[in-house]
Amino acid sequence: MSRFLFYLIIINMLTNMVSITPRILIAGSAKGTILSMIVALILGIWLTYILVILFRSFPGQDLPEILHAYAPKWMATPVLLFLSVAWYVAGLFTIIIYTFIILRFLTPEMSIYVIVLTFAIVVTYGVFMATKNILYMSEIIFVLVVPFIIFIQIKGYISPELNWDYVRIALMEFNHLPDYGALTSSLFIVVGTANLVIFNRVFLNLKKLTGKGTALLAFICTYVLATTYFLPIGFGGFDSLENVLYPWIMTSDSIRMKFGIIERVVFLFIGAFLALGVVSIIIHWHVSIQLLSSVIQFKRFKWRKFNLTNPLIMVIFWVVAMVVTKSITAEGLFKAVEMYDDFVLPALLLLLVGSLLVAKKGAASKWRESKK
Amino acid sequence: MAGKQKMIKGFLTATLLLALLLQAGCAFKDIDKRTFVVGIGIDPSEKVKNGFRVTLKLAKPIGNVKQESTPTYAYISHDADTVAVAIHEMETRVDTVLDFGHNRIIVMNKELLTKDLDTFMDAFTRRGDIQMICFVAVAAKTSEEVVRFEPTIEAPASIALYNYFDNTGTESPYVVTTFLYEFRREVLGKGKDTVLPIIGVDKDNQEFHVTKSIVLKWGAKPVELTAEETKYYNSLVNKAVGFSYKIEEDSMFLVLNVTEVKFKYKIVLNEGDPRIDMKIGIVGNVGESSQRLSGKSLKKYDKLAAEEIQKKTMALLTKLQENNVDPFGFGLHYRATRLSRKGLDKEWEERIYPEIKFNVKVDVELQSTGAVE
Amino acid sequence: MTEQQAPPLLNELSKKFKPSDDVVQTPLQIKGQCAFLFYVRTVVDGDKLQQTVIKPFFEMASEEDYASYILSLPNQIEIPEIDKLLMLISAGAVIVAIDNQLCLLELRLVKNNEVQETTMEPTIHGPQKGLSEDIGTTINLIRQRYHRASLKVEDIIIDDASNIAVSLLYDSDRVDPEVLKKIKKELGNLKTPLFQSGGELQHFLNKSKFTLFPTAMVTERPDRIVYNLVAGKIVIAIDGSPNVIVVPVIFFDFMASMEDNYHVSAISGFTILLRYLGLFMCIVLPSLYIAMTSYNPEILRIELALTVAGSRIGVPYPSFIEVIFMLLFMELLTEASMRLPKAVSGTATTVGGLILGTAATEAALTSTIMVIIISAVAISTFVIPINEMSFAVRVVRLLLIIYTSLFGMVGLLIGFLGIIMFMANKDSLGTPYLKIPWKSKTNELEGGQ
Repeated sequence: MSRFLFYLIIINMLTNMVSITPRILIAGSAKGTILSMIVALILGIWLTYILVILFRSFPGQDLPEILHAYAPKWMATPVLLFLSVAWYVAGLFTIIIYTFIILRFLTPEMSIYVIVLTFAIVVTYGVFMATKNILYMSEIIFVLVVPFIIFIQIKGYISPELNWDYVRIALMEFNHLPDYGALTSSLFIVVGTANLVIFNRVFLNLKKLTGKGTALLAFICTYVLATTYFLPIGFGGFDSLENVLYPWIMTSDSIRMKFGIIERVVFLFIGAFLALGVVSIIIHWHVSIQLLSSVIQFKRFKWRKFNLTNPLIMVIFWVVAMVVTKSITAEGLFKAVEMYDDFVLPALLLLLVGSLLVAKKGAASKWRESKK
Repeated sequence: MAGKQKMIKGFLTATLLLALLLQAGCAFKDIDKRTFVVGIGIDPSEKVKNGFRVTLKLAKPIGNVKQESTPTYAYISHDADTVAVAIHEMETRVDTVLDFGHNRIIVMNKELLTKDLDTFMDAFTRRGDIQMICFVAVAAKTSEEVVRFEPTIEAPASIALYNYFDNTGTESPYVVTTFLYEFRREVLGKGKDTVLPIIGVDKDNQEFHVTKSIVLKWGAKPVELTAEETKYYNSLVNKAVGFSYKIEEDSMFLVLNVTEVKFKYKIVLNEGDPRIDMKIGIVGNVGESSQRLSGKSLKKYDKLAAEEIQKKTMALLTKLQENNVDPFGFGLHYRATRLSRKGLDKEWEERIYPEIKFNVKVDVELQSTGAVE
Repeated sequence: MTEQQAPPLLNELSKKFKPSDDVVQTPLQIKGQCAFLFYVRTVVDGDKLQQTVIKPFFEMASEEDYASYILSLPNQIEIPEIDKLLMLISAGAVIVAIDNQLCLLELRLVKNNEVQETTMEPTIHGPQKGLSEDIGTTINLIRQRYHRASLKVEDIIIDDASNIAVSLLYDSDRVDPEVLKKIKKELGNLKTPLFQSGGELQHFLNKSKFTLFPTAMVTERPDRIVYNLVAGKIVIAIDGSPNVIVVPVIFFDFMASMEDNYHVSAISGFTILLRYLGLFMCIVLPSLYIAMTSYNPEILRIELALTVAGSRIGVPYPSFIEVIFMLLFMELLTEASMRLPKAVSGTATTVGGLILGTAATEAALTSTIMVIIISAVAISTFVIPINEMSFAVRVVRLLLIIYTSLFGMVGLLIGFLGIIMFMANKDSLGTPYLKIPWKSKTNELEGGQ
């Protein structure tokens, strides 16, 4: 399996770690999160496998190209539009969550507009980068940042203040049926693969998931999922975490580096995850804008031979982001993410697999025709 | 491509310039325009009914730390309905911004422990800028006294109270350290009760006294532990070492310096009466003795010491049990080893814990008699 | 015995060169034998001319003998068309006309062919001599270190005013033909009236007007050149410049010192680590100061926070003005000591250092911590082995300071990501500029590895 695909998956997983996902998991902690996570793990890896195999049959092509070539037009346009909006919203959630975290924990006096603007400049540049360069960039940031994250988590795991009894209590809750909400929100581990809808255009020979690759992927997924859920519980308690908005920020604030340059790990933690968050937003919005511009392209909207559609879309993206970030409440965000995870995410995955299957059929019949 | 590049650059410049305009003095605050709060004390208010009196210890910036001889702190106190209001009103009383990011200690009055504890602790966990790793302690008399007190040994730009609880300074088994997040999870959660250190002030000798502790169960009367009990608790749960046990027998006594503590327990329910099997292992050497000791008879002293420690531990456990508090977290362990079920915690608290028997086994291993026999 | 006429070509040439006084067209005559010489006196090696051309003429028995002698000389070149011929003659070629047969001999007189000391990239181990200002000597130095037939030297004619000699060196076995084609096209399209040095050419090769990071490397070290040739890169040598240009280069090439190869692995690993730490520090440290003092002092330890706050007592300006102010002075100091003659530059640094270090803090213009940071930044800037990169870093640092003073700690972080993105999005003749060079067996991505 290509290492770049790994980066796409892991970056997506890690950004979800600090977002609303742990809160949803913890909310269902007495209801069957454990089993949901196990089911999601199996389902997620299976879906990753399927997606990789499907995209493998269209080397170097992104979804718009595949659908335009092999699927009926009435199907291609709405599917692409839906996916584009879904990806935009995923990026939007990330930006809102990070804005809130910054506002709450880093610079409480700063205005929301300024914080969003901080992202706007760099993310805009990033979104317009070439697809391949985005992968190179994510690799660099991944390599720079992940050691810190692993360090913090190891520090947390070996901390004597981590009370394993709380973790055990959480584990003992496995005798409940899986919870739909927890299941779908744990499915985030697979969404990284779905980024292939655009990124497949640079993967010339996407390799199938080998045994070793699957094992590695399963290990990483299990580790991330388990850490996402159990470490906050070990630090924050089993019963007392349900009203915490950002369990992971609280957890990282509970870890202390007695002799470190920075004593409070939380800043290191926010910094590391912010970097990944920016990459994740760039990836999502890059996918979104590419999908959207494959459907909507104003031919005459030009300025000196350069089509202005994409910049226009970008401006709209930011305006919407500003307005939503300003007006949404923390509770509203939680509800919205829950809804997204419950309905949009499964629909998205189903649609993606479905349309790829249709396209594959179309491709096969076309190939047969050309042979005749 | 060139056109695109130019556009992006133009856009970037425009937004940067726009940002410059927006940036009319928000969030940018130089370090010398901030005052760092380095200690918070909360007492019940005498002026406001059902209110709080909040005392803050503020650090004054010092030009040159090396030349400063006296500590440079300022203190302000304020009475208000709630803690958050008190803090907000105090912000108008100093000319610079109060920065809580560096606060590492919250001292509470004992009387407040029985009151609605969560309402005022809420003010701290809700604020994003207060560290979750700040220490929580209880004042022996009033917390204002503790916060305002400056022991003679306090050096400039260093806060004596931090050094007590931070494990970089003094390390004593008499000092229990509880962080805000531990406090929160144990007060709000069930199965383990918080132990908070009690800070006393010795005005005559100009020093702090941090030896005793208090076991806090939300909604119940707090139980005070003596210095000796605190030592035993701390050495078992937190594996605190570096302390000594005095063992007396007939005409001789010897003092045992502990270097390593092992502590394990198991809750046994299905063999007759419910009981907790406890295994304590202690490794140490002899620190002081009234007579010459021989290396061969170390085994004998092992046994003597074990009996002594067993007795003391039993006393502590029974005291806790009688008062129905559980700082060891037996209840938590019980829940952690059973399949989840409704009412598991109630069952333990009401039925099992008051009845449970303790079966303590102590193993002492003296490694040497010190530098002399 | 009739007076022989000079061939018409020579007359035509001499017309072109008129009224230069150093053009010589002279007949050689002895006993019915006759030959004509045509050359520019100031660029031709007179001794050699005397020894190899004039003297044998008078010793030979016949014109035929002489002609075959001249034709067998090693420095004999084919006669090209008239434009190139003019160029060659002005560069030191001699035309010998014997009996209507024309020969061109290369008898250049080169005065600037001494090998220079390395000044820009000194190393402790490794060769101490660099290249030469003469292109022939430069190529000689390279060829003498790289004995392979696959090392190709191609002369490129650049369409500019001076017709300066430019050569392309590469190992044909290792070079990427795509890149070679690109660079040739690039050089062919060069629209510039005049260029004289490697640095200048590099500037023209960076296409867009605004560039932050160099995409071609200027070097003076023959060992680095050979190292890069082995790595499949293309070297452009220019006559009159003691440096050559290496393309395509990526970010990591600028962070490599040749010394890395001369030490044992632990030491070179440590120095490489040190270098990246220095790079990171000199980019981030001033911005970090702003972010820490003006936005998030709680990140610092309390003792440090109090010290910083204390040392800022009485400083009239906000932290970012303080930083920009001090940085400006530091840059001025660096610039001044670089341009000044060696004898004076020492004084400049001392005076400047004194003023910056002590007086500025005494006058409460800056905090003491600031002075420490600025000196740390200054030192770590010089750790970067290639000058062009350290110049680029100086500009990047300034941009990051602006971004940080606008957006605080988050701005610092995201700004830093922005720099990484900017580099990752750049390419040097199709090679990605910043990309982790893992070795991979198969092509994973289109066009990359």
